Amino acid sequence: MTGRFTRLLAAGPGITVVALLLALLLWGGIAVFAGLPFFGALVALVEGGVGSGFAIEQTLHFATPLLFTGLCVALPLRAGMVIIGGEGSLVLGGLAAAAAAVAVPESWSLVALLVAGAAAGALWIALSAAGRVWYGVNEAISSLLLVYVAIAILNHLIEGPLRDPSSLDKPASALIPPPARIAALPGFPSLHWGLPAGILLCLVCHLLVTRSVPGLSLRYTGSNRRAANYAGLSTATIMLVAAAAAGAAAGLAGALEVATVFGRANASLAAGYGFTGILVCALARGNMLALLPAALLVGAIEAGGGLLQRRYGAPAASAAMMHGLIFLMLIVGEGVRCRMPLFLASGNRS
Amino acid sequence: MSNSLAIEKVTVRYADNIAVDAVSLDLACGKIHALLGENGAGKSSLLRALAGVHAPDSGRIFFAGGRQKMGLMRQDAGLIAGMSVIENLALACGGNRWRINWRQLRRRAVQALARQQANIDLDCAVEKLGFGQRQQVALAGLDLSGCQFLLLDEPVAALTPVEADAFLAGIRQQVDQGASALIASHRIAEILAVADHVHVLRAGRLVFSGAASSTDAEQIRQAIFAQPAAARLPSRPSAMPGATILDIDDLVLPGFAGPINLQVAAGEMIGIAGMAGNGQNQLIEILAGFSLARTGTIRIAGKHLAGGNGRKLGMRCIVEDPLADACMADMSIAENLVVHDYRRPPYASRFAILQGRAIAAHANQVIARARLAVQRSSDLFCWLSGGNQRKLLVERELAGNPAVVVALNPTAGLDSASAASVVECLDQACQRGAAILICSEDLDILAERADRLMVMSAGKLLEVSGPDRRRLAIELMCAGASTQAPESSQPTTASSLLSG
Repeated sequence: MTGRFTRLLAAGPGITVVALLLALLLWGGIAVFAGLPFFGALVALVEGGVGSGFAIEQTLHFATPLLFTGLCVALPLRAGMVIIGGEGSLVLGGLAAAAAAVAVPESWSLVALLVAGAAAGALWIALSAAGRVWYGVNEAISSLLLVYVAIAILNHLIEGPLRDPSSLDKPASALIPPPARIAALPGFPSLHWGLPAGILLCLVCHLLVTRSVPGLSLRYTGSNRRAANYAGLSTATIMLVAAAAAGAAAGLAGALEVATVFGRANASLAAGYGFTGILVCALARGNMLALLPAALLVGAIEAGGGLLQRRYGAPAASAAMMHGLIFLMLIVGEGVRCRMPLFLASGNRS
Repeated sequence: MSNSLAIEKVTVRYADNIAVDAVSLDLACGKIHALLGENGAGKSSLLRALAGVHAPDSGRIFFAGGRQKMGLMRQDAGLIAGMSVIENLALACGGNRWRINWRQLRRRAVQALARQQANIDLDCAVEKLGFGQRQQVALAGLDLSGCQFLLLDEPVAALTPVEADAFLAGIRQQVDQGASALIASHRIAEILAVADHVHVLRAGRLVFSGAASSTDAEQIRQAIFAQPAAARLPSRPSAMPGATILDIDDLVLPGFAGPINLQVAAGEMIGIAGMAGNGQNQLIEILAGFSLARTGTIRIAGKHLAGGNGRKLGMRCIVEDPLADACMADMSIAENLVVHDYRRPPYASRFAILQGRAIAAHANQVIARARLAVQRSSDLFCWLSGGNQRKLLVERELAGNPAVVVALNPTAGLDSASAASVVECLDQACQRGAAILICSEDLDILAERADRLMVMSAGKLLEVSGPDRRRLAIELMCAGASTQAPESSQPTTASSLLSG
């Protein structure tokens, strides 16, 4: 019985579930410390995520960009790179999208918005990958630092050359023309076509990576670059393409935010979806199909945090704290899993 | 009765491999004992068991007449680069828990170094010292920490003959003053000159033990390199070499002086013997495309080998460590087996969709052919034992009709049956017309199978021919090992550790 239980844990998803439960308990404890009722807080968190039609809509709303930013982490991971700077791609993607949508004739503005968003995002992550591939620069660090460069570029442009003179209290770029606005899904005012697009993108990426020849090349490269080189793969190209595709996904998330929520580029683009994507990918363990439930879960916590604020006046950081706790527990779980053979061995001996 | 270190039926295992097989020895104190044997004979494992680095799996180790402190000196001296000599010595014997008495330590250090007639500045950074001086510092560290029984693992492997003689003279002096030493080495002549007793390990077993004065180098050589009875293979029909396939022209290996010129014909098998660290790794790295040749050219069937096109030209490598260089540890056996062919039918359809069923079927077929114990094709590659990993690598690389096959130690670490099956696969590829190059430390297989036998020494190839080429090769290897130029004989690990 014990053996079966430990094996279940070691299998991976089990660890994730236990990590989630532990994070929930810990979070409840902290909520008590902050003066909230333990069960009340937990109930509000769950209720705000899945308790009503509105709650579910909120969850899906928050999950939409996370699908894209989760992909931005998962895809490079499969090529052997740890990219944690999806936020930079998202910010620049949103900025480029807003600028491009204004710059072209109105009938082309939607196309320009999407293409510019994806291209800017792709460029940003590909920059980190290029550093890694050609100069051996650690891509995790470079992509993370480039986030702050991206945010600085955004702030500079929306406060300077791209600033809409009518945006007085909050600097922003000009409003995009109506044809570039992406409509809400019929019947769900806070959901838009980005949600089905994101789901489709995850499915397609999953199939490509697991079932196609280029996907296998990608996995060979990620698993052992030296051996992949020996097998004749041009691993540099593969890594660059994977990084560019990942960046394009995050850039699209930014473009969608602009086309649906803000209608322009402003500082609210840097809302942390890019960083939360890391958590989504960690929950999914790099599996692109598992990004779907993972993004839903994280989106639900985000939505639950909203209800907590409304019901108990809890700080806005409650959801972020839950995210952090989940991440912490996942990492601890990973550590325990690595030592699991030791526990099992000592168990067998006794 | 005088004291001695008694080793009783000590066995050391690494997973399935027996490194030291029930070795019993009685090492009298106050003497220099030489522990000789090929690479992988179990010398280091025995030393580590004695030093307490690894507990032996069975057996007993004890002093017959009163405990003595033992200390192990590693091949690379084990000093910390970036720190001075005196700081390294403080690590070996420094004071109590809170405080180091530097003045006293300096006085003792000077004495310890003087005992070896070493003239070394205590404040010099260790990476500025020569290899011989580093060894002397390490030895002084053992001396200062009060070790009476010295365990030395290949202490002279990286030294020039002059340095080696000076170092061994220092050991002699310490032993004359009451210490004892057990020296593992494969440099026969130098060790015989100082040792009192000689012990030879082969494949983990003690095969010879006697006083140095009553043995000669030839006797020791026979004990070290004797043919294991179990590994006899069916003889290979002598090949009818065809046109030259592999043409290596004036290739200079990085870190070595001599150029290599070698032509290998289709259906020909070349054996390259040599002590490890003479350039075999570098040669394989270049042929496999892991690194580029800076001088010289390599042609396969007339076409230049450059920039990772080896696979297209039909070059296949059997590397020493599949997990590092050739296989994907965390991917399935099936995915690992189609690395060369996954873009083509039947493994991929017209629209580049992978055909999982065909890939799995192929893997099952290979697993059956390689006679692996029950393994599923969906198992991860890293779950396999080292021997099975090697077998699958051999099957993968030799499938199809490779033009050139290069193998580095293809039988190392394999039991005799697995080794035989690997050699058989190489034979078959050779008969199908591949040009084959085997670098190995297993001289028996080379001498028996190869059409031409060469010895690699300090980055150069020397051809050995004649009726008793096996013996000749051994002599060349031993001679080469002791006359290497100093810059080429430094093991890369030690030099990179200390320069970085």
